[in-house]
Amino acid sequence: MSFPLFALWLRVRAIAYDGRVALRDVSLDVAPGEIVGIAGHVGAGKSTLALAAAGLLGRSVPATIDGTIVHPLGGRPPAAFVFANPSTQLTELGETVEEEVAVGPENQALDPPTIRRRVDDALARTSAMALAQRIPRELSGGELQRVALASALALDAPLLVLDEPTAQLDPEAAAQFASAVRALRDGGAAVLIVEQNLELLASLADRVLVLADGAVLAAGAPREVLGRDPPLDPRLGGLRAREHAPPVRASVERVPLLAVEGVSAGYGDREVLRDLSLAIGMGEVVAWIGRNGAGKTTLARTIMGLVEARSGRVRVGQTEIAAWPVHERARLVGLVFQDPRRQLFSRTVLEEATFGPRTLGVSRSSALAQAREALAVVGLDAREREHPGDLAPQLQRRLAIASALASRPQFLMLDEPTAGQDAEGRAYIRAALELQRSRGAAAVITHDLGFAQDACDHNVTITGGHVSHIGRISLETDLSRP
Amino acid sequence: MTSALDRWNPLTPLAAAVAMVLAAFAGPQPYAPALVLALALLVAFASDIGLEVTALTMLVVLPTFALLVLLDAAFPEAGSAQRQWIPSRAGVLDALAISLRLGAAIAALGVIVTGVAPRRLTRALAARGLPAWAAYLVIASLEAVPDARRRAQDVIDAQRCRGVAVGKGTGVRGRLRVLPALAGPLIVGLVTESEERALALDARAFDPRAARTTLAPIADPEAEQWARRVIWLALAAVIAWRLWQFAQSLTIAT
Repeated sequence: MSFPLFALWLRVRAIAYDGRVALRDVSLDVAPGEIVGIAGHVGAGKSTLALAAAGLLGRSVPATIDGTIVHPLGGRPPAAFVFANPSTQLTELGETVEEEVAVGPENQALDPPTIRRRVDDALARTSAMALAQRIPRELSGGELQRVALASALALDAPLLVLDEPTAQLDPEAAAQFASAVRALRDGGAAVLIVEQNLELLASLADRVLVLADGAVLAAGAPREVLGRDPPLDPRLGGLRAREHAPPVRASVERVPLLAVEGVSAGYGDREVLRDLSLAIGMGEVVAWIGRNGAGKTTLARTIMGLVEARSGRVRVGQTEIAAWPVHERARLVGLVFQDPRRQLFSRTVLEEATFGPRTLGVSRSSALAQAREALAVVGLDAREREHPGDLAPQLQRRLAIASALASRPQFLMLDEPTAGQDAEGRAYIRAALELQRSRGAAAVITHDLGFAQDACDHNVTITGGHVSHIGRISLETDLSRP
Repeated sequence: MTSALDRWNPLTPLAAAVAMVLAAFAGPQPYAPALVLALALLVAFASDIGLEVTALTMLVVLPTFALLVLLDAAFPEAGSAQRQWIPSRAGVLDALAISLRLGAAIAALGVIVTGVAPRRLTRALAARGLPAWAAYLVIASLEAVPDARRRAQDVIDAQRCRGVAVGKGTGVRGRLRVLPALAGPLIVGLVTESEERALALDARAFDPRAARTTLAPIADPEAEQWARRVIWLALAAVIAWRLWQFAQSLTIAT
């Protein structure tokens, strides 16, 4: 059999995990100098397709492949892969960023000058030169994602496969990332990108493939396929209308619910928050935005008590909570982390959602009622008997949100809740925030400005550890408005 | 981590440490272990790792010495004049000799463990033909404890945010009650992380059987290569001398 000059030639009849078919009847070619985008709802088979395209299925990930996957341009490896969660792709073989990026070329047994050239080139192309001597574990999610891309680029593989690479990036970093990917394409690289951010996908890809329930739903030019109205698949959603107007909010009572006054906090010698003050009113949902490493997550951890405030005060209502231990603060304040796997342990989804209220002393019957209500809001009520470990990561994230909602805190903070979520998932998270609004207030730490515009009343921009701007959500800096 | 030992090719201090350990056991007692212990501590303090190495050594030596003296006092030799619970002079000297040898070994190897960056050591060993899987095994083993500690802290933080009380004042029952909430995500997380790490390595063309090169090869000056040869020769001489002594003792006994 002969193949045209493609970096990837894939003809798959079925791919199955433990006998369960995840993908069927997919044909996909990617040529050098081309960016092909993959879109689809959660569980559509996007990551399976990406792993198969990179040649990783059946090796590190056990799966049965019925079909043919060829990388006609060869290469060792034939494809480089960037994962959605940057912390999971550290090999730990390198102590510094530079050494981590060098791992691939070292495995290819290249000579040291060539490795040096590859590392410097990859770091330069991802604007990560300044990170070269940093320790990977100490980087923010966005910085780590740039290192992950640099590590993939250093392999100099004919095909680059990106699985939701911008989920952890701030808009500016995502724009830089997109520029780097375009430059790669222009340099002759073949790129396959799985992306939930449809605006980014439409601006990047030369053509897209839309998956639904493990099969191809549509293929073609990005704006034509993703811009259809109504959308091809309501779970996936469509491109954001450019004339989209922010929702008009009914006037809400502005009784201050959370007040942070002159708070400074940090880790060791490093001060992250500097004399930060903000107030959030009853019935408000606000977005905390800012660049990677600006201090958004540290602010949430300080309010929760996980990071000790070196100075300043934190009040919920009229109650000063600065001296309260974390488990006592949990009666008033909730925090959902980026990685839900830190907390899931129960045998069923319902038990998991019940754990918080039960720990806080709520009776079993009330806890069950609260948990069921929260699960229904995030769309998991039909799955309450399933094991949390069996849920897709995006659903685990929604379960973590439901678990926090079930405890009924007055103030709830969600850290990057929409990462990897499709339109359906984002709608559920928005519903969760509306429920929280009716009970108190909420803050969303996010780089997803589109979601912030839809779901939040205003944004608080955090820069260098203090509040630099408070105002309406604007998409001026969003990737959809390059 | 950097230390004064980083000026050397890691194989040189490693060879010296191995030689010192063997010399401490094979050399004349108790002078050889005493000399090795002093030398190791001297190198440790000169390399700014003296306190760590001393603490590590004492952590092993003091309990060992105390235990041996206690055993001697608890079980006097049958027929001897030694009274129970009063250690004999010979027993104390034996305990001192054993502890000294152990201390010398711990101090010599402690200098390597504390003062030589593991990734430098594995790079140097890889240049000598250490397979990729072995290098990864060394690093993964060294990183396993801090990794698990980091993940455990993440899990504790997440569960405290759900109202779980940990630490002082929670009592045994309280701790047992929250154990599944803390242990569950930790164990699952460690398993998942190892699978993800395998995938990450695979994605970076890692082949456990293949040879690897390195971005920054560790310099191995000729002087150090000669120094290591001298160390191995000296070590061989000490072992040969001990074997000769052993053979002599057998001859006399016959």
